[in-house]
Amino acid sequence: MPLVKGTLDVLVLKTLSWSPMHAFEIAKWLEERSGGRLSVEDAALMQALHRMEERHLLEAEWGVTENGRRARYYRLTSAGRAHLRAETKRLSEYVDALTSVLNSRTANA
Amino acid sequence: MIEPRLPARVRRLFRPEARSDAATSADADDELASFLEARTDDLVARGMAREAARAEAVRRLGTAASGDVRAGLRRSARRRDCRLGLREHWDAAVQDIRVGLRRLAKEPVVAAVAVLTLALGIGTNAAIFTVVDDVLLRPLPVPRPNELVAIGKVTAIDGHTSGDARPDLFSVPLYHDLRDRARTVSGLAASGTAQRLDVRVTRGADLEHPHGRFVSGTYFSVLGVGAERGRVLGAADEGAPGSSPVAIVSDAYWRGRLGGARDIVGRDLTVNGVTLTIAGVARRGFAGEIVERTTDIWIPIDMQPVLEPHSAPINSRMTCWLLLLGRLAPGQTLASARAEFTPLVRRVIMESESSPSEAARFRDAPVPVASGAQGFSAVRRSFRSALVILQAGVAVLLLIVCTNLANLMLARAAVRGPEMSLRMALGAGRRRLVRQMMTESAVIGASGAVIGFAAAWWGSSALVGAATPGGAALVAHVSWPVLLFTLGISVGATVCFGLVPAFQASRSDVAGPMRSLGRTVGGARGAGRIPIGRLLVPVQVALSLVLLTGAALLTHGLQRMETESMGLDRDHLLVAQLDPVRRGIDSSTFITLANQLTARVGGLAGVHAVTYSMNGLFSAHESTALVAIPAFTGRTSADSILPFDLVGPGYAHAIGATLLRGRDLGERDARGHQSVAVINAAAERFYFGGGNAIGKVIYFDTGIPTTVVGVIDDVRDHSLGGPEVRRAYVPYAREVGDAGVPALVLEIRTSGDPAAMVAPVRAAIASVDAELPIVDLRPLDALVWDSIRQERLLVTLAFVFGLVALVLAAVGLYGVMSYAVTRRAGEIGLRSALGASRGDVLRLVLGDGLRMVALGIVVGAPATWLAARALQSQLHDVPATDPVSVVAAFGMLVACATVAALVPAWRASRVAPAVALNSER
Repeated sequence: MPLVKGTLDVLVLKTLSWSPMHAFEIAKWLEERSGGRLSVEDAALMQALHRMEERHLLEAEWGVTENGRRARYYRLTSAGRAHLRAETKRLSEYVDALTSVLNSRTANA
Repeated sequence: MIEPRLPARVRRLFRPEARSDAATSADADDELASFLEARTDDLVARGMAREAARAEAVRRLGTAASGDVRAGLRRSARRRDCRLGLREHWDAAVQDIRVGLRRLAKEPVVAAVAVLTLALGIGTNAAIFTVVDDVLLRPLPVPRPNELVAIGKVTAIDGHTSGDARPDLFSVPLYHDLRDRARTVSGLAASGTAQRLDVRVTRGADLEHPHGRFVSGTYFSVLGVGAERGRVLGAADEGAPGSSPVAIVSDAYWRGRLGGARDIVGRDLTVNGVTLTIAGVARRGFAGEIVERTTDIWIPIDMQPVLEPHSAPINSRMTCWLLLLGRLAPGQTLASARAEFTPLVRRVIMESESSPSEAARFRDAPVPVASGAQGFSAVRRSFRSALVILQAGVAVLLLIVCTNLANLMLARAAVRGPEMSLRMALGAGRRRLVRQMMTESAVIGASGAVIGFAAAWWGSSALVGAATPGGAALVAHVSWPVLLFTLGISVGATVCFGLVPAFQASRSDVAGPMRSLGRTVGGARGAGRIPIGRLLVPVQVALSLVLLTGAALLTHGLQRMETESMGLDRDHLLVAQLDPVRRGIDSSTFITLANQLTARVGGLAGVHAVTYSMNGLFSAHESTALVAIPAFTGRTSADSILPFDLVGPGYAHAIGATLLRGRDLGERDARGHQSVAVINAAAERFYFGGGNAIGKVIYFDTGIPTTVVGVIDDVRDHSLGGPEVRRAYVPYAREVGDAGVPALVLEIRTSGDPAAMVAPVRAAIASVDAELPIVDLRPLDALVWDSIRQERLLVTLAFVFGLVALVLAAVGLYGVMSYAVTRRAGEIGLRSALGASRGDVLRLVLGDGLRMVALGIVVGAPATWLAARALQSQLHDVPATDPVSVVAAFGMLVACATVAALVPAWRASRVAPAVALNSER
């Protein structure tokens, strides 16, 4: 299933809150965690990464992967961490509200 | 795995310092490529063929790979790099500063000398510039000051004349006419002098004397100044005399003297015994339109007759005391305002004159119309030339400081030659070394600037305090221009003294000085090259010569002015300025009082003679009359102006003037008798062509024929220096009814020290009238001394700056010579070994030093001549080529330089040949 608009950033931030990763690792991690249900477009991911880097939510450095390849590793900045907390709160409130509305409608029907 | 976090210093080792644009783009491409590879591998692992997997990976990354994403990635890569670059520069700068500080800390004396001399150079410049900014440059703190036009003689801030209309100082009726008729200004404000105000803040409080100003109702609106509290003056405050008993106080006065009380509006203030209501507080930061004075209280013009009842009536067109400020109407310029006001002022005056002949005098009268952006100032013009001279002088001083510091840095660089070579050998770039050296200079520069700026802060206030009588009326502020100026000269100076040695040091070749690493005399340069230090010394000598000669000329000028004959008995005169107006004395009782005072004071033991006059001596009060003299035709209207004083009997004798012809004024020259006058030699020469003036007639502006009965030698009545002023002395007793305000100054000639007679004279005056205010009672010498305060200050400062320059030049020469002697120790040793006597060595080294001095003098002489010519206006008849001053300056310079060169030369001559040769090993 495709992502709901506006959720990619927070998912990437959440992913990176575990440990620094490079772009492909992030994509892989998201797919695995969602049991393959979430499909992240590679292009969108790259855009999200560089966008958040420019906003200083992420910082990146070249490193070497397990396979011995060079890759840019992204990590959360403190601003990124704060943003993640705020967005998580906002999203879960939004989901709560959404759920309650949807549920009540079902009951009335 | 990710690289471990390394300190920036270490990481930098593995990364090129600067990266090109192409490199950062490649960086972005790399990331995309690495992602593609990872995706391809992943797909292959899931069982796809490699080609298909590759194609799939590219498809997933989409067109983005070559389009938006790529551009975005590149952009962010570039920014990232830029940030890193900055951080790297910052890290390097911090490191350089740390190294610089450490190095300076190792040589605390050198560092302290460097910082302090620089602080001296920067501080003096900043201090003088603070005053320059305050007096000459800064506009009034009002909105759009450039729209203001000043009409009238802006130096006449305390002007108050009666008896005639004037085109440069305005009466209230004239102001009203101009205000109603002028079209080029949207509003016209007037302000006039308030004499000393006696203010009681509360009932029973001590009297105080804030600076007040009488202003029109338009004053605040034209200036665009609002109220901090309450209101400012408005059109309602104009009307009949005494109709608006209000005052506006300045924010500073409210906070300072009135305790910043919240209920200030509506409170009463007793001014000259009259109760005024405080209607408001003017906006914070506004202290009036006069540059050198902060105004504390503004009072409506129409209150003037109530507060100063004895002064000339302000509804008369003959009472001139207002200066005008207009705000240009939209689209108007200063030129168009001038084109309107000049004929308008003339026309209005001429319309009100009684006769066509009187009116004709104003047909071509000059009407001063200038930019009002800087308000009014009595001192601006007189300060200007002195300030320009001082600023030029301290600029030269700063240059000398810079050359000295450059020398010092050069010497240090020379000592560090081997170290530089070593660093180069280890791979440090030339640019890096220059940067290191420049950083050290910058550390010195910054420290010097901070100390200098702090010193300038109080220095400028002290300067202004010393230059203006009665303490610092002008508050020297530190403003943006001053800050920028200080920053500018600091950076300039740092570049001056830092860049030369830095490049010289970086010219070190890797191999050369390394060889001398073990030697005590480090970093010898190629023998054929002239060290820059040897070029700096002549520059210093030349600059010092300019300053010293200037100082010597100014000193001589002042000395000549001070010792010049004044035409009176300067050392035995006591001057008492009294205020009979405040005591309520009018013209009918005035002469009786004057006679009582002269009789009582004249009876004191130790008093040789007593007389009185209206304007007194060295009081800056001057009366002038328009005169007509048969057989004399003036070329300009100024030729008909004759300054005069109203004086008591025996005036010439009492002040010790020399009577050349005829008689002194006496008791019989009183009211009802023939009108007579004594004139001075300058007036006789000017009006009577050098012939005998006794018995000749002068028509004063009243048209009454006045007979000249005596001629005295010229007397310096009000100022030293300048051309002789022609002057007439007219009996006070005969003119007292017409003279308007009676003013009274006693001139007391003592047989001994006049200062000793101050107390007895005070007591004698009190015994005549204990309530008569004595405004001032001082020996004439003190008044004279005060009158040349600015000149004295200028000379003192020039002299101090000259001395400092001399010392710095001597230190510079000494440093260079010492260094040269150390460097040439081997050569000198060799010479001694070959049989040169001590005298030979002394001559050799001394000659070397004096050659540099001679070169400096040759270079400096034309510059000195130019500077002296520029000073001419301040020199009081001392010629710019005055031999005494020039010889004194040259002599001092040569003497000092010789001593500075002699010490190292002497040391060189004591060098034992063996020791010297040893050092050359």
